Amino acid sequence: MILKTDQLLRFSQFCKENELFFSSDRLSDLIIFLKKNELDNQDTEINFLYHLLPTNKLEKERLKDLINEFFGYSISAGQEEFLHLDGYKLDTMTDGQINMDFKNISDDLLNNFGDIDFSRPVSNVYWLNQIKKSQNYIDEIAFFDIEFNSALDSIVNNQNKETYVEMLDLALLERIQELRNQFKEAYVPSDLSKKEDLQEKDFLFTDSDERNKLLKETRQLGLILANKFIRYSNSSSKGKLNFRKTIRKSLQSGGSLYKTVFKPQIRKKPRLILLCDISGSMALYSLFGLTLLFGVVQRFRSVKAFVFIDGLTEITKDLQRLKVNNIKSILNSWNDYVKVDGHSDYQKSFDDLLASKSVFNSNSNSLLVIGDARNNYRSIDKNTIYRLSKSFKDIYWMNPERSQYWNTGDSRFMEFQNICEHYSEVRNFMQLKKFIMKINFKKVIK
Amino acid sequence: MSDKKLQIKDFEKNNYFATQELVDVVNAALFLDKPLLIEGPAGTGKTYLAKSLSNMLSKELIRLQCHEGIDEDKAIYEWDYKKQLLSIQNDKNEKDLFTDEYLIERPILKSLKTSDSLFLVDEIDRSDEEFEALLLEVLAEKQVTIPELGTVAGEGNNFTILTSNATRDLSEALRRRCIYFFLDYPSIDIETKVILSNVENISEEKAKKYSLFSSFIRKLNLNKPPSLIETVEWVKYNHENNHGELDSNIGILIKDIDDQKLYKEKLKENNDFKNGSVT
Repeated sequence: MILKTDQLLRFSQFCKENELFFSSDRLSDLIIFLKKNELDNQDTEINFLYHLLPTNKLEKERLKDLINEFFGYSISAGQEEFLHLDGYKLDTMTDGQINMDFKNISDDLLNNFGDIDFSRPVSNVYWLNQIKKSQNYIDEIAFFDIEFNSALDSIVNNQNKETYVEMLDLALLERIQELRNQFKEAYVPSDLSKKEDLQEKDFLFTDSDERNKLLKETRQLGLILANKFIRYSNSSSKGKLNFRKTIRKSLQSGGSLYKTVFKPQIRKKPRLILLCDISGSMALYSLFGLTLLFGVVQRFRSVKAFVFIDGLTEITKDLQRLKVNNIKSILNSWNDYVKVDGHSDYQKSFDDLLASKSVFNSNSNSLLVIGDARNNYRSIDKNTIYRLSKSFKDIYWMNPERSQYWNTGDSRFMEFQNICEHYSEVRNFMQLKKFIMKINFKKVIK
Repeated sequence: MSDKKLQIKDFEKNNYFATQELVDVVNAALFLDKPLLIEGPAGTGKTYLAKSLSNMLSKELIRLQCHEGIDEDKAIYEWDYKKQLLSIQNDKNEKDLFTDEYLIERPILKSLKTSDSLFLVDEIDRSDEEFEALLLEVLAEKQVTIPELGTVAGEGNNFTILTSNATRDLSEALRRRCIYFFLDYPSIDIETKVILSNVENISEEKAKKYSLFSSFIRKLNLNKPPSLIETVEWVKYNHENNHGELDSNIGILIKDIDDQKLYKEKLKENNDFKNGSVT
């Protein structure tokens, strides 16, 4: 075994510090495996570490970054494929392969770009975009601009082009980073380094691809949340023994009581009530909120989902009917959810909620609110807060606003904080995940 | 612990085209004698992996298809009440009614009692959480407890594979007991191999084009991206019937009306681009 046991233990500790936990038996399994198999190099051992430690996809993705950070080894994501098409210019090919020495190409592009003032406090992506506009860059990818007669060839060509551009841009970004690091002393490093971890990127600053990826993960978190609630609300569907029916049933088997019949259990199932503010101040966060709601509703029936601006609208059935790609359609029909003036009104929305049948006559429900509590200088009635606290077993609140701005201006968050079981700032996926993981629905007492 | 190490070529001999990653994980699971949990979208070859492995390892495949409401009666064992009643009626002195004679073995018990078996728990995410808890003893200790009979321990040399489409999150307890692998849609290289082995008289270049094309479709953010088998069927039909058009028979490939609309739009965009009308 090339990796030392204490090295693995330190790595496990490092993972713990980064909030990724592995049970000791998984670690011991890994050590047993590595010891017995006598692998020939450390990279192979790290690959096995990557395969054997995680228990789900999210952990696996997180582990990839941590391995890179700790061991300085990057787990390969699989080489992208290029397909030779007859139409490609032969001078750009060597033995039927596209020139894929991206490091050299990016060096040439940077050298030919002219003087670049890396001391300017702009991001690496800015410089990349400048280079992408240059004639040299356009020429570099021009060999993909060929017309094909077949639609299939044309699509394949576009696929090749996309992959090529993606890999070239990556190489360029790496090279730019290297060059800019030479000027590092003049700048705070965080200004120079691109925020690599998408999970920690503010939802507001994600581009379309990143957003799609995060929305997919957010939906999964919705499923996890639903699952948590099911775990705490489920109980046996069997009620008390139905003695009369059991005796009658036993007549079929000559009087032996081999089949017992139970009365159906009649009990009000606790409900999970989800509220998402979709007013203007919520911006893109409401899309993530709605996606989370979608995930929960798809998995779990005993749930009520609402959106609100200046009044409450139930969207449970709409979400059940929706397909994953169409969640945006709720925001597109924003006007339909405006009741008065289109400015968020928490007082009116919570009054609507308390008056609705969903929470009527039950105090075993849980409430999850996604909103910034900005009430447009309207007051919040203390009685409403009191009734909210009495009507719900527990209240959870995700606030997409930076915590330093809470309770400033027209924010009325302080009034809700006291009645919340748990509240937190949620502006990126990592915060959202932490929040969902922290939620702990209390066991319902029957 | 098993000393047998599988290679990619062993998989390929059984018509299963795997990545080195997957082969490594299977070997690790066999070595550590732990169940293998394979998660991934539908139609990526999770169940087929189990079938191929049963061939490769010469083990009897015992399959348990999970569904909502599955319980121990359907999964582990059941007492044959009718037989017990009949035996009481026939022989009043019959005392021991809880013996193997009256036991109906369900897949879990059967797999434990079969000495060289591969036990496939298919689509575990469709079952209820209570059922997951039932499986814990089987997965960790390779045994089940029948109150009337005692504990039935496995005969050894059994291997378990669990598959999940990730429609719900599985419990930590279950995950902890398994080696995990996420089986995603295949890479272009693997998909090409699958097409080549399933479609007759197709050239490697054509097969590669089709697999690049299917990776293009999967990037379209569809509600239901085409699975591997759907792609193979579509290629088979188009290739063998000489249908060159990409928008014909898409019902074989894309099974959602919104997805079909999106696909046609993207094809049109691509054609417009090709004709130079989009710059």
